[in-house]
Amino acid sequence: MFNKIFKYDFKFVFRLWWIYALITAGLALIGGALLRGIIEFITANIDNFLFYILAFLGFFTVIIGLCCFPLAAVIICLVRYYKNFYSDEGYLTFTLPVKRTSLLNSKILTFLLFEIMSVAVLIIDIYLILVIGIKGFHTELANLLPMLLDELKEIWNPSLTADVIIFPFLLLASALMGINLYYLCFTVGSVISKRYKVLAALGIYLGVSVAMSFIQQIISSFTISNLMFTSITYTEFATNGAEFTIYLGLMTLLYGGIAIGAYFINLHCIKNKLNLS
Amino acid sequence: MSILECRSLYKNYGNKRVLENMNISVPAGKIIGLLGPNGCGKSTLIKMICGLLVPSSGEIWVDGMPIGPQTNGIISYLPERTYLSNGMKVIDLIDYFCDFYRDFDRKRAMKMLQDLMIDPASRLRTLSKGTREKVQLIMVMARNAKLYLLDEPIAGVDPASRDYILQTILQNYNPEATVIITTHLIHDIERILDEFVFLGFGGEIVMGGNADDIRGQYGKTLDELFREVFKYVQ
Repeated sequence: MFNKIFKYDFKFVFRLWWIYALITAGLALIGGALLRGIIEFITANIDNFLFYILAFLGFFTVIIGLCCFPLAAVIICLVRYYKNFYSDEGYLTFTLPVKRTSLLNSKILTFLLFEIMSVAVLIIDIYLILVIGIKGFHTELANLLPMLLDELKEIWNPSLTADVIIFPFLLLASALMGINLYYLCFTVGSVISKRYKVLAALGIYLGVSVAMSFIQQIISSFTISNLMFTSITYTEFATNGAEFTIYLGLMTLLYGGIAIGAYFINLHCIKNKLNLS
Repeated sequence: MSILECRSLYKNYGNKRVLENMNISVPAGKIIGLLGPNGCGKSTLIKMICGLLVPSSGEIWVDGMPIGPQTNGIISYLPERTYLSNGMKVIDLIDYFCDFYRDFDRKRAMKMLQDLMIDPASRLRTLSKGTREKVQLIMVMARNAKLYLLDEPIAGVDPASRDYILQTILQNYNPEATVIITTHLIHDIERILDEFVFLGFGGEIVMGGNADDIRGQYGKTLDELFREVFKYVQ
């Protein structure tokens, strides 16, 4: 039954998401053209104030539009979660012959997949802007890459190896924490309030965010404070990065722990504390 | 064998006790009216049977199984509210029910839609509230469920629609199944009931039994009897 519920969740989000994805592709094309125009005008020393103003404004709008894209995916997933679970649709969702665990897992997997897909689309969009906007982009990249790799070889150390290994886990833990916290806030908001579920969810999320940043600051003050508050070069930072590795490890554990905790609290509420209107 | 059993069932909302030590055994193959004044716990009981609410204590067994996904597979539930997603087409809804319920009869659903001249390609948001409610009733009654739970199916609809709803229930329910109908509009449904239960506040079973026997015994309709029993409660 998980496959079936996942199919419907995925279809619902995809139905809106692909339109936004297409819009961002269009924006990327416009952004690339604007960037090319700006570079060409600057190279040719053309002094056209109106063009520069409009081109920069246009380019800025494109960048804002692209940055909003992952946010749009988040909003679509949250709307799906809220409507499917806590609006009147919940009367159908929770009377399907499907385990509550499957219902929640499907929502989490859908959210995670669309976050990854949105980031992938964003990377492609940025690539498009650069390819269109910068003449001979690939040649410049081919020149730049060996230099970057040489520099990386110079500063490479065991600590950086550990960082590279930990980083994907940190990203995954951070994404799962975000998803589970969003969902938990909606669930708790629905449990404590029948009329103002969304408002209650927002309030809870605000409180959780403040608490999270407080914990994060405590951890960083014990681990990377000397790296953050002293002026050091990138090379020094990278070569003395054991503290940074510990910080990354602790944050991964913290995010993972919160994700797991939020998941089980949410599941408990969905199983035992449903508060449909 | 009973299709539904509630044993020592309690339900509290905070400090307020809605159901207190309720014990009920419902036989298979009957149409049963769960009748009681507003706020006596009819909908709460139905929601607990569907798994939407968890009892404070006690047990509920449906067809010998505790409440869970398996029991949801044999219960067809019509809530008071319209639970359909407005963005869906009627045909998508039929596919959805086919996907999740093995006992869903697609042909029967299409036939009922045709009888009501509802275009399966139409989106639910384009239909009137009354038509959406009818679509929901069709989805519920197109299943060959073992237990139908119909929570206030005729509340808030005009008399002609009430007749249609009751006719749909009678024509389409699986004859081996049990139908539990909650309502306080007894006059309209009493002709279709085999059995009835008068539920008082706190889930107390004030009176119950075979509808015809009681009518014969008291020389009154269920509606008249209900008014007499709950005269002071309202």
